[in-house]
This record gives sequence, structure tokens and C-alpha cells, in this order.
Amino acid sequence: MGRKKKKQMKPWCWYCNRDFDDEKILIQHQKAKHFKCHICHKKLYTGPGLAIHCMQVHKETIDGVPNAIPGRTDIELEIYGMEGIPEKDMEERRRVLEQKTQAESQKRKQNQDDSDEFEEDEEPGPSFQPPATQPQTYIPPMTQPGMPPVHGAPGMPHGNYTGMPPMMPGVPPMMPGMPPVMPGMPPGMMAMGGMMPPGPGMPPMMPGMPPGMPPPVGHRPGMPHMPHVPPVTAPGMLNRPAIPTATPPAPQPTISKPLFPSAGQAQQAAVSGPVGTDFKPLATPSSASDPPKPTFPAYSQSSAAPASTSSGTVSKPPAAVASKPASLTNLSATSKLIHPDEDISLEERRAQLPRYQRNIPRTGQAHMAAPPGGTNGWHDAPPAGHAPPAPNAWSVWGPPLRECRGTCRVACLHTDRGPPWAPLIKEDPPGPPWE
Amino acid sequence: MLTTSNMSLFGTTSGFGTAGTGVFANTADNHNPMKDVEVTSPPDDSISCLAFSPPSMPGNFLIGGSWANDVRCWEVQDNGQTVPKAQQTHTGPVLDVCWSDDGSKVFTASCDKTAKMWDLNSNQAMQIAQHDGPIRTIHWIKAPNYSCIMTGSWDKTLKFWDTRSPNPMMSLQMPERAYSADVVYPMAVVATADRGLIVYQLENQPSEFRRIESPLKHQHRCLAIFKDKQSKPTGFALGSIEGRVAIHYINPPNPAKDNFTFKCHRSNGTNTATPQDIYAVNAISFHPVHGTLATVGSDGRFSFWDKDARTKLKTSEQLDQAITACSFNSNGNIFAYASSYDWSKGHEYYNPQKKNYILLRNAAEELKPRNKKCLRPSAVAIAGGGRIYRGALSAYALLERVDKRLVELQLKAQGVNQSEAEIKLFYKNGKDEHSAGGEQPEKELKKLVAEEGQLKRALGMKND
Repeated sequence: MGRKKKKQMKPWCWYCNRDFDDEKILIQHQKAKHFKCHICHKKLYTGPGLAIHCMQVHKETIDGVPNAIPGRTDIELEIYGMEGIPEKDMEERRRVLEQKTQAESQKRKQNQDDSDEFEEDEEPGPSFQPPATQPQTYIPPMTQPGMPPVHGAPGMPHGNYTGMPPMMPGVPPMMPGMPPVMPGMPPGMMAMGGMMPPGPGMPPMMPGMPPGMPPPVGHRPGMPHMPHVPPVTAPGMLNRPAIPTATPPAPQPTISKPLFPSAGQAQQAAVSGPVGTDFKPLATPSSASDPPKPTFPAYSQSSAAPASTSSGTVSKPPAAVASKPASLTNLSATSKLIHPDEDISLEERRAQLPRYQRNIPRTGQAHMAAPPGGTNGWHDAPPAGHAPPAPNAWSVWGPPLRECRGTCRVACLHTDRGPPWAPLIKEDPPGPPWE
Repeated sequence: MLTTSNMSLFGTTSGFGTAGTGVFANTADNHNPMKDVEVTSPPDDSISCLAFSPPSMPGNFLIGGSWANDVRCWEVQDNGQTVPKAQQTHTGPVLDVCWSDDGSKVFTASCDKTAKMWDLNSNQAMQIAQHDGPIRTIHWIKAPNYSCIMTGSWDKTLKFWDTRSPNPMMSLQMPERAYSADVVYPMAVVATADRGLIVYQLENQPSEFRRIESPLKHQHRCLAIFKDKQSKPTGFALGSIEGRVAIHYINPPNPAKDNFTFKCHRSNGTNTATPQDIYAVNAISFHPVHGTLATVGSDGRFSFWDKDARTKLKTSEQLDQAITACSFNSNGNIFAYASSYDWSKGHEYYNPQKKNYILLRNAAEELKPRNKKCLRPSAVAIAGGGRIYRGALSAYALLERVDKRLVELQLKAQGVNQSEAEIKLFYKNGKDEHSAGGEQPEKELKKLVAEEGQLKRALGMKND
């Protein structure tokens, strides 16, 4: 954690200047982003491979590597991971890195995010996220000024970051000839948009967080609706502890290798990476300029009041709505959840319709109040209003199924009922629960 | 690809609501693009659940519950013919069904807050359970010392019934409403609202075993337990509304490695021009023999997956309606899936005129896990459009998916004996299903042969 020295260069993608922690991921990124056939989505291994594939299979010539930044689209260059990168670009990169880290070292005192434990699932989220502290020189100038608001901490003391912005532009585009603004490179946040639990919208952004922001752990003033989104709810993302003590220049989010590269491959690219020049150009500005939204603004379909015309069938405790923004559908501009916004299931929604209600008799005693959620132990915990368990009261509903003494083989529920439920009803369960 | 054309089919109906039936009538009928067998007399409203009879029963019987309040039973004959057998009704939509292990009874759970036991021999149904809310899940539990019915409800309770008493044998409180559940003795798992996951153990008597933090970030929608080689339940697959499935082991040796999630049921994979549509995973079912799994989604597709190889085995064409339920028969030869509206686009897209279908597919071959060893190295050769790249090779070695030596051997063989047959073999094995939209295999094969020289050169590259 934070142990990276600047001399050792992290893997980065020559085509789009993204950083990676692991060359395997980089290779996957390249396959998904730059070496993928736009016609049949086959993933090739190198630029020339892609060209040949397109020529042979589809009779099409492609003149540039897809999603590459200007000047890096050479399809003839055989680059694979970190192999084959032209030496001059390597040199430049190295130089830029150095300057960057120096600049950063003065400002960055925290914002370490590492120790993601759940990144193995090739989600675009954490694993494809370019760590903000990575030295992509041209990124900071453009994104960071816009970013503090997005952190979705409306209640955050402003003083905390009013002091910030001046510092951001202070990171000049150090790479001459590089476009200072990369519209296609929403750093980090884009990828998250597709993925993250739209909870507070904040912790996932960590990597992009400008220095000086309070670490996203702990309480967030002004976000009253999020009390139930403690770090535990979204392991992959929210759990990143911000470690204020780490060494400034080099936070290193550990990126474990994705474990399911082949299965998800067809879909992987679309949401996977915040990269590519001609890719999702809109997302960054829109999300970046929308300070007060606690949740992700990108996909702002009315998060309408959850079918408040609710019938008696499904009653939700009112708190439920407020307490779990976490599973609603805030996605990035590049994807759209085909599912209602409310956090109730399709079946619940549908069951509330009059047409499905009309035949259902109203049960007088049907009170839907959630009984206090005690721990579920052994004991019967009949909801109030119910008779105490009376296991032998089957006669209430008429005769039992045919009694059988082991003679009937097929239609009998009773055959193997040895010592049946008796123990269940007793206070003391005889057998130990499973160990 | 096909996605776009079909998407427009959904798209054209926007704004028409129920009046837009003419649109459907004019479009090409796409309710069965996979040319599968249609079950006769399907329900009149969306099909919520499907269940095949257990192995203890001779023959195949399929139960389907629907939003039309009914539960139907069909016999599926060996020739694929389906014969409607019987039907029972609830006073509310039926949300789940299950069989007793001997196949004599079917249990049904309904929005009318009751569950019923349907004795197929006598064709009598009687109420066996009562909840304070609609019952979402129902499962038969067969333990050595007891058998019972487990019902999970939106009233946030999980109850166990002996089918004779009007009172539950046991009632367990859950933190949230039950959304999906599965039982493989001695394990039960319930997925609830608010992304809850609770594992129960059923030995001696049911009790909560563990609560699990959700591996997914969106609402849970479906869940299925899978077994290990010894037929013991070891984990479960969990599907969410966000086109994603998590494979989760209960006690994995290495949780970080063994548990994973994958995406599915999403539109236009890499096309960045239009927003990607992400659909809910409506149901998951494991193949009883191969242990591979099927997912069905709101996008109207089903997909087959191999969770161990972590590969996709097949994706269907897109149906014109969502697929709401699926089930394998007991020997895994039949895959049944139900095409009907799942409400994912809200009320205005509901078209009561549209028929619902239950389709049967031969699942004997398609769910077999593939032989990885053949696939991988040959894919290497294909990967570069005929050329073999150093990178490709090391990629596979890097991914630790394949024995590097094996790759080299295969490549050598390929480079040395350039017989057409062999290349053909390579091609066949290495053919990536994602490229299926390309040209005829023969055509590409020709090109491959033409690339022989390049292949050899590439091989030389590798050796230096």
C-alpha cells in the first residue's frame, strides 16, 4: 500500500494513457477497448491482428485503433500490454510521471484507496478505474476542478474545498502536445457511474478525489438519507478506507485480476472503462457540474415516489425508502437499467395493480407491520395475533392426509417422518444446531 | 446484430400502451426465434414460475404458475408433445410452485397470501399455509427426520409448514421481504429486498446459519443453489435487476478468487453510440447433470453458462417478450422457459393481447461444459486473424488458463502440419461464439490456409 516508487512504472495503456496496476488487466483492457472488432465484437490481440481480422473476415479496412487518443491510433504498431511501446513514448511518460509525482507530493496527503477486496469480479468499477493519483498529467487539470461537487457531499463544509480549486489548475498540462482536455476520459467516475450503488455516490469516487477532501469514511454531514449505507453495504467500493497516512505520491489500489474474463467479455467493454476519446464524451461534464446531488446525477430518471398508491398488500415501512437508495438505478449516461426506479420488485409493483387485487379476499387480521426483527433463533416466533403453534391442530383444516404406516409409497407425506416436528416445538431443541 | 432490430420492436410500442397492439400484429412474429417446442394451452397472463417433476416420477410433468391466478400441469412426452393435464386456481396471482420429492404433490404460493397443496392423484387442492402478505417463494424440504414446506413472504417471515396444521411449525423473522429462495437440503438460501441474503441450515430443524453481505449492488431478483461434485450444496448463484449474476460459495477456500460476478442480459455489448440497456435477470436454473446454469432475462434472451470454466456457452436470439421463468427437467434434457411480460418497463408496455408462451428446448448438448484444452490454444491461432502473435501466447500463459506447454505443442503442430483438416479442427474448436455473425467457417478456413506462410513465420517468431 502506497509503497510504489516512482522509478518503477506502472502498466499503462499506450492507446489511451490509462494506468493499470496489473499488466493482465491492461491486456484485458486493450483487448476490450482497442483490439475489439467493431463488427463482430471479437477480441483480437494486437492492432495489426485487428486490422487483419477486419480485412479478412469483414472485408473492411480500419485505419485506426478504436478508442485511442489522437496520435496514438497507429494500427500498424504491434503493442501488447507494455510490450512494443515506442521508446520515445516511454521516455515521455517517465518524465511526465516524475513531474507529476513531485507536484502531487505537495498536495496529496490522503486519498489512498487500496485494499479493495472484491475487485475480482471484472466489474468495471474498481478494477478498471484509473487511480486518480496516477500520473496522467492531462487529467487532473480538467477533471479535478469539476470533481469536488460530484462527490455528492452537499453538506460538506465548503471551506474544505474552497481552498482547493486553485490548487488544481496548478497542475498544468505537462505534456506538451497533449490535448489539455480529454473529453473522452472521464476519470474514474464514469466507470463508476455504471456500477456503483448509487448510495452516497461518494466513496466510490475516492480515486478521483481531490486532495484535501475529507476521507469518505466516517459520517458525512448533510447526507441524512444515507444512514444505512455503511461501508459494508457495497463491499467492492465503499469499503475503501481512506488512509490519510499513506505516502503521498503513490497510492496503489490493488487490482486483482478479474476472474471471469471470458464469460463477460461481450459486454465488458461498454461500461468497463472510462477511456477512449470518442467515448461517452458527455458524461463527465454533466456529472461533474452538478454539485448538490447526493446520488449520481447522470441517470436522472425520476426516482419517483415508490408507487405510493400502495395497496394493503405490500406495505413498506416508510423508512425503507429513505434508507436504501442503494439499489436504485443510477447508472451512467452510457447505460440504462430496464427496471423501475423504485426499490421494490417487479412482482410487488405488479401485484399492487387493481386487476390483480380484486379477487384477493381481505384478511381481517392482516396487519403488515414488520414485527421487530429479533434474531431468528430456534423458537417459534409467531407474529402477534396468531395462535401459538399447535402442531397437532390439523383437524382445524379437516382430516390429515391419509394416515399411512409406511405402506403407501407414492402420495404420502408422512412416510419418513420419524421423530417429526416435536423437537421443533419444544423450548429446548434436542440436537445441536449445525456447527 | 439482431439486438437492434428487435429493440425497435419494443421501441415502436412506446406511447401506445395497450392500444398499440396493431404494432405487434404487423411486426414479424418473433415469439419463438429459437424454434423451440411450444407448450399447448399456455396461461392467459404472464407466467411467473415453472417447475418440472422430480426424478422420482416417471415421465416429465411441467407445472407453471401464472398471473392469471392459475397453476397448470402438462405432461411432456418424449416426442415433445405436451398434454394439458390439470389446473388449479388461487384467488390471486401465483408466484411460485414446487414439487414434493415423490412427485405426488405440487405446492403453490400466491399473492392471495396462501399456499396450497395440490394432490395430483386426487386433483384436490387444499390450503396449507397462511401469511400476512403475498407468498413469494415456496419450497419442499425433505430431511431425514422431517419434511415440510418452506414459504417466504413479503410479510418478512419465513415459515415452515407440515401441511396439516393451520399454524406454522416455525416462523422465522427476516429483515426484509423475501424475493427469491432456493432449497437443497441441508441448505436454504433466501434473497430478500434491500439486498439481503440469509442462509439457513435445515438439519434437525431449520435455523438461520449466516447472513451474507450481498455481492451485488442492485436489487436481488433470483437465486439458485448449486452443488459440488458430491451433490452437496456449496453455494448459490444470485441474479440482480442489473443484468448481473454473482456466483457465491458458502465456505470457499479462497473467497476472493472463488466468488465472482458476471454480466449478462445487456444490450449492444460494445456499441457506444447508444446507451446500453441493462435488463433484469429473471431466473436462474442449474442443469441437474452438468452443473452449468441457465439465466433468463427481461431482455428476452436465455443464456447458458459454465461457472467453473467461467465461460458463456450460449446465448439465445432475442424473443419479443421477456423471459420470466425457466426450469430444467430432472435429467437435464429439457429446458423450459416462459416468454411473457415481466413488468420491467411498467404498466404502459403491458399488452394483454400478447400471448404468453412456454417453450421447450433440448438441453442435452448445449449445456455440456466445453473442453477447455481444445478451445484455448486454437483460439490463439484464430485470435490474430490467422497470425499467431507472441502476445497471444503469453496472454494465455498470463491468464493462467492454460498449460503453456500445451499451447506451444499445439501451435507447433499447427505450424508444422498445415493439413486442412487440422486447421479445420482448430477452427471448429477455437471458434468464438461471439464472432458467429461473421462469415462461413469454410470461407474463413480458406483464408486461414492461405495464411499458412504467415503462420509459419509467426511460429518462428515465437521460437526466437
